[in-house]
Amino acid sequence: MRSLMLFKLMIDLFFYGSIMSVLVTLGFGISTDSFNIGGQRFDDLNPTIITFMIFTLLRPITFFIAVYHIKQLASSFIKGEIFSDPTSRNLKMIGYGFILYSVVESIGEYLNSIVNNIGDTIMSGNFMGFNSAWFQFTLGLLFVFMDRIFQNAKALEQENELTI
Amino acid sequence: MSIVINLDVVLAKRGMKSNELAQQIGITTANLSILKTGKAKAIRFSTLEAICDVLDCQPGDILEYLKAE
Repeated sequence: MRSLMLFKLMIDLFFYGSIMSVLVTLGFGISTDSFNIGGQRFDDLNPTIITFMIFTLLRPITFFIAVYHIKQLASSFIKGEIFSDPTSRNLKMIGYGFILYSVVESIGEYLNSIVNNIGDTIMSGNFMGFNSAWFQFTLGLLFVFMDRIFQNAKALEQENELTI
Repeated sequence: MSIVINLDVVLAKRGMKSNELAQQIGITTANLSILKTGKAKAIRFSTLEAICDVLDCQPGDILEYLKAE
């Protein structure tokens, strides 16, 4: 239980800290008119750059969706709702969050290579390690699979409770 | 469900109340109610044995199989 409380505290700190960080960065960028992406200012807006900007903004959104549901999952566990519908739904949403994040990140990287003339980055670099889009995609699938396991466990628990 | 619980019938024949049976076999009245209403997913042999012992009946008197149409 102590480790669970610590986990919840860490996730809460991380979640609210990240939101604060995004808000401060955005606020600073807008107030000082120095808004940029990856240190680069885009004065000439063409469809590719606009798409790149949208994907750059989508990345933290999908990330926050996943972290928010991890936070909710921790709350459910603390309440003792282990094999419940909210737990199952949160696991599924975390999975979809990771999958969406990896897709958005891959497309964002590809657009970045076009915008900055870097060359094809889809299969290069960042393939190995926890940071890679492939790993995040796989992790997302694992969470979706865990949702199935939890649904199965919930049915078993219900059956056990209804054994007189 | 094709397995029907006839506990009500046996209880009525014996003139015994549900809470009395629940107390004697050592389960809660809520659980006995789940069993009586057919919401139970399974019944333990120990529970069945206790019911048969208290009501002086056979498992077949309590459980009945009806073929689904």
